[in-house]
Amino acid sequence: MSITKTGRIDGFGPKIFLGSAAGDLASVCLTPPDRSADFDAQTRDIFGVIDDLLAQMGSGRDHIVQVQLWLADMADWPSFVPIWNDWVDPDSPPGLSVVEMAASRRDSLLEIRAWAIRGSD
Amino acid sequence: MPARTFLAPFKPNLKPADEPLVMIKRSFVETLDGAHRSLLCQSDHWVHITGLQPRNLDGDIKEQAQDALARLDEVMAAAGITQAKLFTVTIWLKDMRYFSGLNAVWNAWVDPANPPARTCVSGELYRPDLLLEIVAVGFHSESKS
Repeated sequence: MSITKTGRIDGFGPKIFLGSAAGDLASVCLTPPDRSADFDAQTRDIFGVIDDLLAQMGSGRDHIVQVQLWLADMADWPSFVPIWNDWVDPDSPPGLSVVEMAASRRDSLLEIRAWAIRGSD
Repeated sequence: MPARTFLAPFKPNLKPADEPLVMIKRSFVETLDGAHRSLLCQSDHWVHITGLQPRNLDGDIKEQAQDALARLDEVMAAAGITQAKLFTVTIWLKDMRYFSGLNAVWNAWVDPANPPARTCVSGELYRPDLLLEIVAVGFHSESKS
């Protein structure tokens, strides 16, 4: 059994992979790709990357079991809810936890980690 | 016919090869301040309990922690596991000033011979009177599906 990684980030920031999977478990964790965007766009951008990377690791949005959301400002929580509700299946949603973070960068308004199940390789 | 060795368990080809064959059971489907979420998500071996909160938000840290752990016991029972099957526990605490109160309740709840692995970090939660939130991941070797 090996570890599959995807979503390589290279640049001025940390060298990291955003997605990693081992066995039947996959994880994607990221901050917004475009930090100049407003909160709604930052949220949608992150969901788009999660969809993309989970698919690359043999999983998908409907296989997510846990989402941890960190908000730079809890005042953005009411804006997050309708975007989340559009993204998940309301009859079969993942788990969700939200906490305010001490933002290391003021332009990153949120960070999300998703854990998903996939078929074992 | 030569004998064949399968390195991985055989999976019937019911779906295209690139689609995972996984069963996820979701329960305690409710809303968190309007956001649809399942408190309990289970696959073959993993039990994810996410965003578990106390119900008595007028209580102090000890009362809220006691209720959150009682609720964790209820959700674990629904998943067919006990605290011995907890892989990780994360406790989000509104303020580290509540750390000692939380630990007093935690220490009374855990099996002292086999306490779970736990992380505790502080961060503001979605409403001001909520003092803690629990995220727990369990693992069991017997398939439940």
